[in-house]
Amino acid sequence: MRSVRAFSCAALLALLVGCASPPIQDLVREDERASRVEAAHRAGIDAEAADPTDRARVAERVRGLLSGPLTEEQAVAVALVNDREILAAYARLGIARADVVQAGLFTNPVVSGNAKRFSKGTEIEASLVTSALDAFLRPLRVRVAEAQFQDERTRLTRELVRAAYETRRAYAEVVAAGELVTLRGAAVESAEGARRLMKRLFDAGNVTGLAMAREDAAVGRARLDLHAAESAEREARERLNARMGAWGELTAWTAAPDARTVPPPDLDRIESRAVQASLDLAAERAAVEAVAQMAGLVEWRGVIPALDVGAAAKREAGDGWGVGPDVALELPLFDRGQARNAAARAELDARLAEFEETAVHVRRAARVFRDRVLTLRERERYLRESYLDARRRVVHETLLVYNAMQVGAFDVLLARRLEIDAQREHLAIRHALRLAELDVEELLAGRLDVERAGEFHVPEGSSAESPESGAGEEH
Amino acid sequence: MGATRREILAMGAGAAALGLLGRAARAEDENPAGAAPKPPARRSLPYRPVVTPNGATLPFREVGGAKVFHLVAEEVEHEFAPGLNGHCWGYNGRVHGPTIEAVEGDRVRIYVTNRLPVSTSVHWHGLYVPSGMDGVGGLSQRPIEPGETFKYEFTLRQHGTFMYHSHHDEMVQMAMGLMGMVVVHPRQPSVAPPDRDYALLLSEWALKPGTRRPDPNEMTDFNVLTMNARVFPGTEPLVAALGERVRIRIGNLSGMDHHPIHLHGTSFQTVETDGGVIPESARWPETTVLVPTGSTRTIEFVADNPGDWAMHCHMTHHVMTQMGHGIPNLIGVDPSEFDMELARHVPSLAAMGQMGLDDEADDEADDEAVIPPNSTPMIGGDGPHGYITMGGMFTVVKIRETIDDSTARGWYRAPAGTQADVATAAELARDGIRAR
Repeated sequence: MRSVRAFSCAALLALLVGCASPPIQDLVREDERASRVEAAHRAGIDAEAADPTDRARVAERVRGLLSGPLTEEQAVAVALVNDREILAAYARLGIARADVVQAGLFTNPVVSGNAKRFSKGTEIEASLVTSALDAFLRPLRVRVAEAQFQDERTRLTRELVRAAYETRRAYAEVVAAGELVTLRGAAVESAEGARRLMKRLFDAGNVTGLAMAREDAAVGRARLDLHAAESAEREARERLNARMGAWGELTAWTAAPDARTVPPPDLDRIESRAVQASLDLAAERAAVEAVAQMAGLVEWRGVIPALDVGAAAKREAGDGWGVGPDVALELPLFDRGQARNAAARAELDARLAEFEETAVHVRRAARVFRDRVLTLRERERYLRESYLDARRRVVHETLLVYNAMQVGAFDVLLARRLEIDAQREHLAIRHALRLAELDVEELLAGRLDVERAGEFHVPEGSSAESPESGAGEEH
Repeated sequence: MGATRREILAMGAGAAALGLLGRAARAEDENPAGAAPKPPARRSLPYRPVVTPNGATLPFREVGGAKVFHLVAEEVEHEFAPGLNGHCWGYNGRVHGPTIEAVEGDRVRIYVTNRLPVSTSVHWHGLYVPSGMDGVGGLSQRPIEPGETFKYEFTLRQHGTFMYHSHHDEMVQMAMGLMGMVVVHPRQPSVAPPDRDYALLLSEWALKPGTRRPDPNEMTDFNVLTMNARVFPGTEPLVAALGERVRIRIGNLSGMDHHPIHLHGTSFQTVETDGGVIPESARWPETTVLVPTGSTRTIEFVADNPGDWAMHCHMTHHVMTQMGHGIPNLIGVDPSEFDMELARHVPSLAAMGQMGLDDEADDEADDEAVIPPNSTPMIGGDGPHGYITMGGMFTVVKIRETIDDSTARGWYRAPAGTQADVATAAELARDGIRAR
């Protein structure tokens, strides 16, 4: 009777464990959503638009977004549902969630039995054994799995943030590359205009072949520059295509930057804010926690390597049933888990050191990014307010003296080309500033790309007064 | 109304290379710079006073038998022609300084006050003076410091046409305008004084369009070439009545150039240099007199040919004002194509009205916007038969049967049969000319 009760209890327990939690898929979807919401909050993205669950709907939406003019936000939305690394991170989160569920399950009891037929009758032995240690360590095990799960969730959030900012950067590259193509095109136009004029003078017998050759060379230079810019634009588009997982006919999008001005990132107290927001640090913290829990588990395992408890029942041949407890205890005489303990503690120490190192990186990156933005802001402002204005005035004043016939048309075109060159320089600085601001935003959204905090080349100024820039000499 | 840039360029061979913008010319409706001629003589003086067109004669007082003059060297805002001014240096508020006029044998005492920011001196060019009065800074005297007044005193021992100019930091101070004429009349003239006696001082300046101060550092590219510190159409004409004997005293204190001055419509003789009278036997008739820098030439002729006669330096670049030498040779091409091409790359060019689209618009307003301030990149001014394509060192000698106050402003009307005009078909046929 007691054995029947024991079996019934075990079955009920198994049923409870099996039914107490909702289905894993639902849990995983909720986890994913939570990560998206957090990433959306951090990186300013549309959480709903970033839901990759319904692949058919996703494909339709992506097609719709890529067929019209593409804004930066739309590019980000496409990337978040198509980025394969994000999909992998979603999958890993599912694994981690499953691990948590797994960790909460009791070890299945082992039922064993045998029957031997004797002349006096049949002897039956039966036992139901389960690991008492597993049941004892279950809460600890669940905490380890939870910590690992948190680590994966943080990783997913970080992947979303990464994808968002890599896409923003790629989009900025495309826009800047497109603007450069426009400016290079204007320079070609200007050089060709100068050559047309020089050709007229050459045909009239007024200028030397040298002057003509110089204009030819200037046009050649300008066209080569345009060609390089067009090539760079194609490559920039491909990088964005890669981010958005676009291929085939979906790559025919046109970038249409949102004309609204984005408020520049707030640089105040950036170090502490970056540390506070850092997903890297959160991940490291979760990893430390997981390792610490694991170390506790290992410690317990050292004390009690194995403890199985159960019930055994036996009916001797011809006798009635005999029922009693069944206990198996591994004696930690030789392997007390010393090595595993030491390894777990060393692992904990290593993780703690890594955590601190990451904190140092985050703080340093915050300072580097802030200083970069400040430097570039100042340079951009100077270029826009002073240098570009001066170049515009040079063109205007050259026109005045052209009208006063102090200089020729080539001087006007040269002034115009130098203005274009200044605009190109401004474009480069604006682009560098945009990238630097994205670095700040990404850092404050919680993700540090350590490489971006490394060496950084502020675009060089240019002294474009090349001897081939046309005219004014050797007519 | 001035010609547009396009029109000037379209004038062809000469005009295209001129570097001048007709639109900017502010030619008056009447004859430019038409001041009334001065009376031929003041009977109270023992000589016929010289007239300095666009200039003045320095007044004096007689003190103890000496004629006392006072020159004040100072910064002067000077007008070369309407629309073209310069922060120059001059004397007594004028550029150039007023003409000093006296008589051979006079004792003159000339005070020179220096109100310039730099030290200076005055040299009496061509005059026989004591060495200590010669005005060469450092050699003859110490320089006159700012705020100081120096006294020069000597007796005029000769007659003729002379000059005065700074002789301290000459390159700078002469380029800034510190010069003037000295006319010494003979005490006992061997010939009757001329009916008209004019004095012209030639000089040259570097004043780029858009600037306001002459650049003394320029060595070759002088772009403002002046008679009495004025450029045509800012030069006053020289007027004479038919039959009058005219004397023109020409001095040259240009920094780097000599000027062959050519007079149309007559021939003349050079009667004097700053070295003295040329014996009659040594004179010859000519139409152009080369006036080397640092010298004077006095020419005389009888005004026997009525008309408006050009008188100008014959170096063609010297009858340009603010000509640019950095422009390509556009002869043989259509200049408007250049404007059209430029407008494609620099839209503001079209907005400036240089495309000939708004030639009828308010020229004055446009002038402010399309060329640098303080510039008259022009060929010349309007004449009775169209645009006079000369500026710079150019003036007009007006000879009329009778003259009055309006003569200087009016234009000569050629009698019938004496005016060049389009040949008629009948004339061409008569003389066997095939024009096409």
